[in-house]
Amino acid sequence: MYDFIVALIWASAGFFVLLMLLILVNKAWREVAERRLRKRRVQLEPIFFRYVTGTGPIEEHLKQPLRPSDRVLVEEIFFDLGRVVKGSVWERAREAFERLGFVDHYISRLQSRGWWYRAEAAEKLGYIGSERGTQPLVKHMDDPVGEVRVRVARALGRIGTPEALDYLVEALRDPGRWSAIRVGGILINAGEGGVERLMKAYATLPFHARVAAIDIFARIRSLKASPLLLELLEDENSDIRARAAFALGATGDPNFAEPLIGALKDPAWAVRAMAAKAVGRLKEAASIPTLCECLQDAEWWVRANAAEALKNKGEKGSQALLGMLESDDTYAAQQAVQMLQESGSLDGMIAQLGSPDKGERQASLEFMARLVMLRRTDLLTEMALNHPEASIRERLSIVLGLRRPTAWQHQVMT
Amino acid sequence: MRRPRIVVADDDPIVVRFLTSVFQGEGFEVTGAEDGERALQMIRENRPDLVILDLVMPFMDGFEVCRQVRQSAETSHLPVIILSMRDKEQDALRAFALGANDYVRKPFNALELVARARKLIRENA
Repeated sequence: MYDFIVALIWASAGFFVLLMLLILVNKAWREVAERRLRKRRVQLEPIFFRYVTGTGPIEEHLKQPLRPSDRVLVEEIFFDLGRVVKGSVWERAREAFERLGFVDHYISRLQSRGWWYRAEAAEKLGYIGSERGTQPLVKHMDDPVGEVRVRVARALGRIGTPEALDYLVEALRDPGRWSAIRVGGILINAGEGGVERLMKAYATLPFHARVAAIDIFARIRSLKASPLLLELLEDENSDIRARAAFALGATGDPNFAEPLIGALKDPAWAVRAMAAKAVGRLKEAASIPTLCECLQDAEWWVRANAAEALKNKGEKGSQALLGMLESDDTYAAQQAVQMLQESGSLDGMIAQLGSPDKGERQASLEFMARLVMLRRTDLLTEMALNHPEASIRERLSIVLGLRRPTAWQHQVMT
Repeated sequence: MRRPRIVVADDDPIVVRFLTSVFQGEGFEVTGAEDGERALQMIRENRPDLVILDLVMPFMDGFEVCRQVRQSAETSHLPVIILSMRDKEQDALRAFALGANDYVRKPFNALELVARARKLIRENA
């Protein structure tokens, strides 16, 4: 029994020593290989840097053919470079990818049995933006593996040619297989190129894809899409009209104020609400009277967006909001107070209480009285307690009825 | 005639190596640094004609390097180009407020960067 235990200990010790040796050898081998690769990269980098900023094909710059093990390094160098450079330098890198056979390699990799190889090949084809990769990629839009399909779609978006983008627009039609949000995100990244293709296909798209297309126009803030969006303000479907209004506002172009003012009077409340949000993004004042009318809209969402829009209109909007305090519509007046508070105008009016100008003090007092009447005394009470100026604290306390004014104070205040 | 000297500071080694190669090819003498403190040291030691700075760097960021370059009487005249991945307006405004002469966003066009560098050196000569 004793001999058996000793033998077992020796065997275990031997096993662990062997294991440790294996680990050490493996680590040493890896380090040597890495060092060799680093050294080789140092040799290759200047050649490729000179090539991308110089002239002539890559073969002229390579004094000897690439070794098979160099391919990984060349790929690394170009992809690292692709993160930081653009323009002619990147164009030259792409050309080298073609000439050195990388594109053919990735295209053939798309046929691999392992899905991760297919996914990686799709990603790389997209990264270098190879137009030649479009057709092979399109064949994998129906790949059985979701991850591959997503990377193929992203690659087509990056390639960005009309042909590649058309396939993405087609994918929008099929909500069962493609998430509109995902394809939408890819088309948004493709920028104005995607807008053009969506506009061309719009009339033939199913409803859900049309909605997605308008949302994409809004996200890109596309001026190119504006002729279509203006037409869509007259669409029979109110959802489309509302989204089109929002997308026009997203451009920030004040030239769209007039059609959007028209949309503020749309029979559908959702359109009026989105139009109010949209005009709030435009630097113009023509919409202010209609926005004031919208403050009395039957739908709260329209009123809230109109108040927000007036707040965004600067001084003229603030003046309109002040005017709304006199409205018979209590809700409109309350919205106006809320926005004046959010825009900081209320703080300005409170500060005017301490003004040496009698007219300004009077205007401020009348404003405070109106707030008290509307029962919006929250900020006033807070200021009556915490305002840094004692005279304003005192006057606010009197306005709020927290204390009675002396005869002298009454005279000064009024 | 003395070759124009530049200091390139970026925590991404590929940027330093690439810009070194590009500017050397264009007849510049280039010193690279991969952090802000080292960059400042290089600037003080080498007295370059131009500095290219990344914003995000270890130990000292590009804003701080730029500020210190402007504060020192010996280096306050140096043209500084900020080369950054950050594309927010505030970053560019802050860089200009601290005295940067130009702001180039990554990914950048290398040949354009060389042209900008030449222009700034010429104007500062």
